[in-house]
Amino acid sequence: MTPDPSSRTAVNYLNVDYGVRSWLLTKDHKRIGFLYLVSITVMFAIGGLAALAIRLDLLTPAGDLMGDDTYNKMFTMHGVAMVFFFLVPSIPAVLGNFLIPLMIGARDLAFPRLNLASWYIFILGGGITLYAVLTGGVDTGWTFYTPYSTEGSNTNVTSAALGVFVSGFSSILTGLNFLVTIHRMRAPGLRWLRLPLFVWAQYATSIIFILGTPVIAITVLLVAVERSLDIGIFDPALGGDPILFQHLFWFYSHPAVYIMILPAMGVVSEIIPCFTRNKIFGYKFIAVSSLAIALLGFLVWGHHMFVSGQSVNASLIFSFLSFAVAIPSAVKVFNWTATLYKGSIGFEAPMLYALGFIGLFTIGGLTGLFLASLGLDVHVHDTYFVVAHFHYIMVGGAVMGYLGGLHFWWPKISGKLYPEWLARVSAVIIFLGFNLTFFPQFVLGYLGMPRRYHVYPPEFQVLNVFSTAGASILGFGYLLPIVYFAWSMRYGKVASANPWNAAGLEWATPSPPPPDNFAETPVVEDDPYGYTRIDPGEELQVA
Amino acid sequence: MPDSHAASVPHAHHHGHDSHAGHAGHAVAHQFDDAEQQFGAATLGMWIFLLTEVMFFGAILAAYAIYFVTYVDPFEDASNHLSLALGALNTVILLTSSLTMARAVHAAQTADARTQVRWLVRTLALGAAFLVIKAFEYGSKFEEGLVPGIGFRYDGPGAAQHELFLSFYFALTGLHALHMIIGIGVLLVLVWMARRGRFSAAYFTPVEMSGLYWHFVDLVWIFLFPMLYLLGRH
Amino acid sequence: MSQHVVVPVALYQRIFVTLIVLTVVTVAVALVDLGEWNAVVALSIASLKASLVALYFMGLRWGDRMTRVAVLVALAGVALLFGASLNDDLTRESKTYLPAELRPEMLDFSVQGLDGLTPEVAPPPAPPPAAAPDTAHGAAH
Repeated sequence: MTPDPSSRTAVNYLNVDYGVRSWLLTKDHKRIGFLYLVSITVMFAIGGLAALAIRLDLLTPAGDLMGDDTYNKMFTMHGVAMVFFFLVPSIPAVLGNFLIPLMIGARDLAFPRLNLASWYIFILGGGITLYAVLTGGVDTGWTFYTPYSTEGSNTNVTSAALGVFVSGFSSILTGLNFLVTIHRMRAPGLRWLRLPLFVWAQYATSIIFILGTPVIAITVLLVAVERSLDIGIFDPALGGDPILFQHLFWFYSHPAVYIMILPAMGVVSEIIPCFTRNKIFGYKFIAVSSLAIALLGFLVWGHHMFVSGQSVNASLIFSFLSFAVAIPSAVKVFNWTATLYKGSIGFEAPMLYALGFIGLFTIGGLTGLFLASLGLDVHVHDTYFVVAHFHYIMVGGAVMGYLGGLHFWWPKISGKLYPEWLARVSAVIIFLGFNLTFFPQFVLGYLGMPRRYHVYPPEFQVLNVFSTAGASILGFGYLLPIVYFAWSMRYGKVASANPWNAAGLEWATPSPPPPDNFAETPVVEDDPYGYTRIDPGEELQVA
Repeated sequence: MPDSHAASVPHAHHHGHDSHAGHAGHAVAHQFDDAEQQFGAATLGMWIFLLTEVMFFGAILAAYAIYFVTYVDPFEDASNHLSLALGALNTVILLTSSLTMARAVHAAQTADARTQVRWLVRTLALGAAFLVIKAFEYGSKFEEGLVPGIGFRYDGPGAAQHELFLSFYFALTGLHALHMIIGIGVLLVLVWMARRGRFSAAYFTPVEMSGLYWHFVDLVWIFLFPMLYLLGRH
Repeated sequence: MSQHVVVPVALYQRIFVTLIVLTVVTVAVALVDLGEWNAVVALSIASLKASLVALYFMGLRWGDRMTRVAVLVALAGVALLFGASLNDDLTRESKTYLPAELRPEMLDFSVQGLDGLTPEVAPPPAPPPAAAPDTAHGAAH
């Protein structure tokens, strides 16, 4: 299984066929992953520009940049684009699509046509949502809370909700495809306890996709129907219960947080052993904790509703279970840390992102415990403390993991090397910019600045200026990878099959991989992460 | 770890030959090793899809259950707006269509192409009959002014809760009817495929998978019928 | 791995007859007043019928392990959805979305000197003793 050095010029998934048609009708999981990469980057840019507008507006206490209606539409656009069209599909649809068949030694996913269909459905959902945004916007926030979304708002809630509804089917099909593929198409010898942890994480994520997504789909559909046909499901005038909407909404949307973070954890579990040259510590614990997080993730949604009028009894149970999620999360953090111990740690860009992930995820997770406490939550509910907390998880966690994974597997995806030095610089810029943006928001929230407000008292201005300054640094940091990844596609140095000396089946095939992934079906005889310590003084040869 | 793992891998025996052609009957898609793996993937995929359907209907039924325990009496009264006879008739029709669908699958398994088409067509006809009756039911609700949103005219006691109940009635039966329409479309394709001799004793996965879907839609109705039609008959 | 199981037609027919009989039974029972038990009986019969369809028509009885796991996961998911949202609803002290007549705690407002906090709702004069939310008869405006 040693890769043939001449394989670069051989047929691979990128050069096997040319032209727009060959891409738009492809059934190759690698090409579909690439299509997703381009589409979610566009959505990320849209959501990012909205974020930048929000931060610029908050530079002054009076909010001089835009009116309050525009401001509401901006944060809604930011939330909808980032949550439903960037974070949820990010790692699963791009890296998962690309890597799962490679990692399990399969020629493709189980249902390639369904896979392509999922991308088209995603594009359709994204198109409908963009239409809603461009023809007047939505001002409900990404949560579409009733009764405001059904009766109060006079913006394009219906089409935005339909866009979310449609894109949900894309998630469902992706999750279904992954589950069947992981169950039925593993290479000979690839038992469950030999699966890479990235695959375990994707498996857990897929379970959430298929269990949770149908619920949000029907819920936003009911909102759209209630708005357009005037039939009442959540309408208090008919005796309907708006809190019921929140139950159904968070039944999906809390587990959706784990859709975002679990795959990032999977990425980190791959990067850390590679750049410490250590076997991963506690493989089984990390694998099982992914499933435990997926399971517990379904039992805690009510912690979003402590001040909604939910019963005290329910709040108590949800609060307790929310604390329980800390256990499998901490199991992962401790195991990663233990993997670092006595490792030959290299500080290549993927590793910088992975290390950043561990620290930022830990802060995000621990502040989550503040919010899971019934008493404290009353104080910080709907303040910038919450905003900071979930951005530490979603941006500090999920986006860091996504970028780390993108750098780690970029040689495999593109067949080219990205400029390592520039990548390290941008990783540091992103880390600093992120903390400058969001750490002040913890303080702001604790001092009582509510979220989703267009104006604020002047005493909060200093911290807001810090945050806005950080956001521009962060935005610049995000631009760099987009530029040098695109640059490297054409001008980057050619990557070998295994530039990182990494373990795993995906590195045992040429970069970029041939259309059918493997010249012959690999047979797995060892446990994963068979890294051997580098002797002191010996340098790891990159590329 | 011990290396005696070959037996624990279900499809270990089928690897090693990477030529994808040369199978009897239907060709195996290139990503699969053999027909057995392909059928296993299709079955698991279908059941997972049905799982998502359960959650889809489960969410709206959970909402319905909450309102039912909150408004027992108005909901029981409102349930009497529905026609018990038509609901029961439709239940019998759908159950019968499940039987005919099962027999279509049976005919496919025993490679009886003509019988298979016959049972598929019967299933199709029963599905269409269900939709026609449903359409009559909807029509009479419309005439009686019982359609929420479009001229809801009932103003007896608990009118608001009656409207809530009927909102659920239309949402639930509407979603179910949509599934029926999709199912009929699938059956049409199956009849077309069967007529063109696409199925054989070795390959009839689409028939089996569509059968699962059809039975599931029947299964949903089995719950909808008592939950909507039978609440207030005592 | 999955395999095709050819089920004798006679078994399908027996299941079908059972389903029809159960349909008749459920309609008949619905016409008898059993109080709260009507709903319980109706749902039990529906579950029985659904199980027969799943086990025999859908072949779950002969299905492989993963199929059963998928079904169990679906049932657990629905149970969670029902259980947790019903738990909140049934243990809520104050259902603020209900009309005032259906909210027993609204009747105490004048006693506690809290009237005026909810100016749009006038508490009904005579508190009926057994006005629990789920037995509120004829919830009229």
